[in-house]
Amino acid sequence: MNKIIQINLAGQAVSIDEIAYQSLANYLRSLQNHFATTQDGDEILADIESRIAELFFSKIKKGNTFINTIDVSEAVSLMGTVEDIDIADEESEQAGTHKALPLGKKLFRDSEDRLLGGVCSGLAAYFNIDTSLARLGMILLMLFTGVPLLAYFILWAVLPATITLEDRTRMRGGNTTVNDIVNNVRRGASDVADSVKNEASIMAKKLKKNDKFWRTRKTVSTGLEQIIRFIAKILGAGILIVLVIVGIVVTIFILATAAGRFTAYFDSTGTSPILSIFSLNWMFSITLLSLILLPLGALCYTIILFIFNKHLRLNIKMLFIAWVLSLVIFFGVSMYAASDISIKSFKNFGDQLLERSVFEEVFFIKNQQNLKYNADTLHRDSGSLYV
Amino acid sequence: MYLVMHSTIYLHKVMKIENTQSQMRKGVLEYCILTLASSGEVYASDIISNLKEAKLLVVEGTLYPLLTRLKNAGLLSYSWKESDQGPPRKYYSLTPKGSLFCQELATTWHELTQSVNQITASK
Repeated sequence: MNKIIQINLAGQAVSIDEIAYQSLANYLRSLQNHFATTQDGDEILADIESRIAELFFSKIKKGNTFINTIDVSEAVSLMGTVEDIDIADEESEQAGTHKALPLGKKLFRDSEDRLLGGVCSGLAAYFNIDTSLARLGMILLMLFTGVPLLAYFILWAVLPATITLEDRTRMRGGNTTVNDIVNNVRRGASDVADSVKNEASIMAKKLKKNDKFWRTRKTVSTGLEQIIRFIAKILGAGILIVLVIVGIVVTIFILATAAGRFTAYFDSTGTSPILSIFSLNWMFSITLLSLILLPLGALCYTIILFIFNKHLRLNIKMLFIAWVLSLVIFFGVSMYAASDISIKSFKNFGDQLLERSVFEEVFFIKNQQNLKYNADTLHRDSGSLYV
Repeated sequence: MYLVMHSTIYLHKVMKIENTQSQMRKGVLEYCILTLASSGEVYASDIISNLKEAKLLVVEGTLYPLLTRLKNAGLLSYSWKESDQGPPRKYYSLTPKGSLFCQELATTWHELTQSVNQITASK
């Protein structure tokens, strides 16, 4: 069972099956994205649209009451997908009328495959790894260090969600293919099936409860998500700004004191707690290096480009993400090392304290023998141990 | 690690027979469209059916960017005509500049076929 909807295609009213409409809309959107940079792309799109409308009209004249998925896929194969058109269009790019930049890979939040915000699946798609693997890694890291929790919220606030088919394709770093469109149609079909299922369950509940409740609940949940995202954005921005400032200050401080006090301290206590752990050692140095070199390198690169009057093609966003990532890791490692140092020094201090009190206790007992003093057993025991 | 992050996907062009073939077709496509339009006012779909018959075109979507480009270059012009089969249609015709262009292309094509024939016959 499918809905039949009326659409306006090139100024003509067309009755179309809902699933067919989905695939047609996706196809036209992919064309729209493709011709977005082309001169008179709107005109080309209008031409294609009116041609499709004409094809549909001939179908309806033959006796079809509405346009179905087969008609749409026929029209698409006749007009050609973005890839087909792209091959023929290469000529114009070489002629220099316009130069389409290669479709860069972009980090997105996957809005269709998500548990919470779709950050993990977006990262997985970007780095071409399995989604469940990314989720597992994220959860494990969260459990052991707690650092990714912050990173997750920052990414959630910063990254855009995939909206169009083109976004999903860019997330994976490829071009739109026929397969994608087929997948999208299939997804659309399952979405429709889901909505039908939802409708059925709502209808069933309608008999027991007021319909209004379900409607408000639905709007509240989406509204709540928006509010959370908004708060996360503000929070993320604030945290980011603080992290950047603190990061710069800490970097300068560490650089300034690395040769002086720290070495002195480590010399007095033996090996440094950071350097004693190999994995932390290299993470520490890599993140420290990238913390300093990334902005410096970007700055130098930009200056060089500026001087030579070249078109800026530095991926600032990627650099920034890399920098923030190294900042977060650096902080994690430093914090871990710092807690290690403080625990060690605290232990030393505690040991000294204990030693002194025991010493005093022994001294006290030895010198005040005449006094019938009933000290508690613990002190007595430790005292006798020392005597 | 950061090199990987910066990487953008570039489509590598591989020398394929299909590429060369499509390039050979592309070169004559504009000439063919202009010739087809020289017979008076023609509809895009008629141009397409002719090109498809001649196996010069695979998908219709490639024609529309070409027509727009030729129109922008002042070689083609179009007029709207009502249609009983749906939306109004664009009928293309050659401009004076276009017919001159087409004549020059015809000469070039004539010379080119002669050269190619000469070479392939001598082998």
